Amino acid sequence: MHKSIAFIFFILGAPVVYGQVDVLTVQYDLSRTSSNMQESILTRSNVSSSQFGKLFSRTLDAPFYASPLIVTSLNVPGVGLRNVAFIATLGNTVYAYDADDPNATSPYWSVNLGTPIFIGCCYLGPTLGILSTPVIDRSTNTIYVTAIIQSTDQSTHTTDTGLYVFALDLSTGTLKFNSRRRIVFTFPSGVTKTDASGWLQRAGLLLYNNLLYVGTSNVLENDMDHFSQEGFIVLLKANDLSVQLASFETTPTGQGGAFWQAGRGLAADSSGNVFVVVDSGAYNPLQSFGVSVLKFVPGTLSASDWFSPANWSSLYNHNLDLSANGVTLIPGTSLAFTGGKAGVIYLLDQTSLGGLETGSGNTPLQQFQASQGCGTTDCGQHLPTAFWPHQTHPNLYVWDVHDYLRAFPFDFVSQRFLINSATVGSVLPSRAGGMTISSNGSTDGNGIVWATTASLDPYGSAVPGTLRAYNADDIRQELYNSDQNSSRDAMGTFVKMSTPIVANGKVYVNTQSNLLPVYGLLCQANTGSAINIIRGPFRLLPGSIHFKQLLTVLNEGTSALGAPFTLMLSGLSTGVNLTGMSGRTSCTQPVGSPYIQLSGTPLWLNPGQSFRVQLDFTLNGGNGITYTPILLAGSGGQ
Amino acid sequence: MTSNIFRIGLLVLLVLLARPMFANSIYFVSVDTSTLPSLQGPYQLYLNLLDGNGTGDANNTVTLDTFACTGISLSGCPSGVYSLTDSSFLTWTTFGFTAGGGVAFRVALTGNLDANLVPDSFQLSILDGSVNPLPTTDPSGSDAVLFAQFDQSSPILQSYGSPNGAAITFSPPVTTMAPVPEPELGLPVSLALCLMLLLRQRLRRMTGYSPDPHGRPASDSHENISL
Repeated sequence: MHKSIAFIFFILGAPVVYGQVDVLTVQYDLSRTSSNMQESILTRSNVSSSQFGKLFSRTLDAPFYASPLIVTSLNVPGVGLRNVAFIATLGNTVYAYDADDPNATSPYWSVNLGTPIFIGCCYLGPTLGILSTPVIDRSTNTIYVTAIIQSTDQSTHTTDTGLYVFALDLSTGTLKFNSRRRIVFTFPSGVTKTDASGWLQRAGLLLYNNLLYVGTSNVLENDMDHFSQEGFIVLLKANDLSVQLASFETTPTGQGGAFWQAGRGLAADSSGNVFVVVDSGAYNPLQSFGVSVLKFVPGTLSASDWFSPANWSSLYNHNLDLSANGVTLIPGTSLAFTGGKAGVIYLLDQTSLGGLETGSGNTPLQQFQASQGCGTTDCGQHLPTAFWPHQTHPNLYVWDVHDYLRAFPFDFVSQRFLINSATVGSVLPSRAGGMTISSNGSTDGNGIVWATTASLDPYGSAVPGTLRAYNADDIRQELYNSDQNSSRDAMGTFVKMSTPIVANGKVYVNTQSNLLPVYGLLCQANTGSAINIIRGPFRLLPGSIHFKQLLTVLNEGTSALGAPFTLMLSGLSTGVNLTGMSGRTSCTQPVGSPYIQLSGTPLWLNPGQSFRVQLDFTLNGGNGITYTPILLAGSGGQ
Repeated sequence: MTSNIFRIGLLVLLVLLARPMFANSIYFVSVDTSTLPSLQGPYQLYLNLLDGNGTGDANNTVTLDTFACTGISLSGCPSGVYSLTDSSFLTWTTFGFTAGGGVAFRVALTGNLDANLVPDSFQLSILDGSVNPLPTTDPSGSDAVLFAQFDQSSPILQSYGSPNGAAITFSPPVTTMAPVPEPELGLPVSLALCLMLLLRQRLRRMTGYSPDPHGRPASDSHENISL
């Protein structure tokens, strides 16, 4: 490459990385809030159909129920540091796709873990492989995945179906930590279950302090008893999956007690106490914990406390699963809440769950009807909730089946939900998949509630889904929905229990369409005054008409800015050609300005960090070179 | 009385307008050309001044003068004064010299910042007989022997040798001197004008001359001052 047209980039600042978000576990955090409090790119002012939409999609081998996970600045062999989205499908394939680059249509790696079960159903399927959301450990560069795998012995023509746990290297997808490991459950009767036919491993995995928690349901002691549906949790040593540390059966003295939590993850507090909620089943304290919230001693599967609603028997008999929602720990408090198909939210004290509700002092701190619920008949699959731990106006959001989005303010002083101040949205879908909240810390004006909905019942056939965004402070105000410009933004088919993942200016959405749609700002963002572009002097090689100029791009703001970066030259004087020009703006103002899509820049430009760009101009009859440089950041057009 | 005030004001204005263009940095440069192969000559010194504003704001000047040569015939030694002002985006000039000895000269640089904070830049290169610049270690790739950017009131002159130590050396190393004002033409003209006006006023007082056809006193006249 001729030196005069080379673009030179290098980082001057220290490689401190902050201001960007990893999503390493389902619902963002171990409290399972479903809130991303570090989203600085997507705001209420730019999430609208005119500025926000679908940027690109990634092709998958099957639908996916597992939440996409995002790892920033991952060292990809042969590529360098990239933001990577990990997708695990019902086809048993794990993909590592570039999280940002629309042109990176091939994954950095993908690995198929084995043949899934073919179940043929359109709602969950057609195959059943990886169902739960994996979990990532950045400290060991590992992603943990569970998969149901079916194998056939050709000599005996017998099939074997097992649930396996895998530890894969984040950068390459190779196996590690003595995986794969088959999950085996042993009943008190001594019956050992290895055949995973009918098992549903829905709950998102929990990784805490080198401990991997895996919960499963529908493990039948007696295969003829299809009403049984017991739930199991196993505890494995994360860096050596051959070691099983503990196993817990939810209802050893009775039936039921499946463990699924509508795909939500097991919650953990900062001390390692683990909280789960068990489905309808036998309740026999200290032995069987159907319809109960459970607390496990750190590092064990020994229940140290529990809560069971007074009407547990009614809930059990009508299949009104309490496990249709996981447990959420309210940050900054010792409170937790859960809810289920009945639409009732229970506010609990983490330090004293209360045991069986008796109505005589032994009651939840608060309980209220948060949605219309199912009444007395099983009506749906789960109770989507999300908690926004905003410092001054926190909210609980609930969007039940055949109901409106509802917001319940929470008061950190009284430590109760202000149910009389609840607000109600205006959209009544058939189903809401799940919700997530994005905001830039507790900065006012930026909170957004994201949800996927379906206007048709998704049980009989795959139905179209809609991505929606609401003002988190006033859910009556819809900011965006993907139907507003469906030819551009169509989401694809709806997936129940799926939560849109918002990270670093992008929204990743589950679909049944074998696609991962990625939404974001249609135009790259003008970095404005946060960026100082220091222009060096013009230089000329004697005898040529090539003028060079070295620019230093310095982040003087307080937030990291995400690549890709584009340098726009507003008002470039006539008679000047810009070598390496990528085009002229049609999306970013002022329209018609030449721009260069920069490559080799840092993935994130942190405050105080800088990089350099060398421009090469050719003067063809002009009188001089004048322009105003503007840096654009993030994905989107120019 | 009004006329006197007017004249005094005009004088002050003229003095103020006659802002001297100072040479804020002066360097004495010596180039050893003894290693330049004569077959690649004749050689020229090439100077350019690029305006950071991009269009030519004429706010900086570079002057090369006081040439002295050793080991070079008088006819091969540059002489005179070469001055560039950034009155357009690119201002440049060349002049020849004979290689084979030392060429010393003075470089005077003004030090004014451009409004858009893109500094003006000065470059000196050596061109060979094919009018190509001799390669140097200039990291910009522009093959400068001397380079200065006008990003401070006393611009710093940098020097670059040729790759692998061939062809170009500097002796002694480039040295920064204390800033010395270098008046431009405007200041002496303005001072002369002031002197002329003062003398004229004194002459009027002595002769009682009045250009006013109505015989009004000279102090009340509205005569335009012509340069």
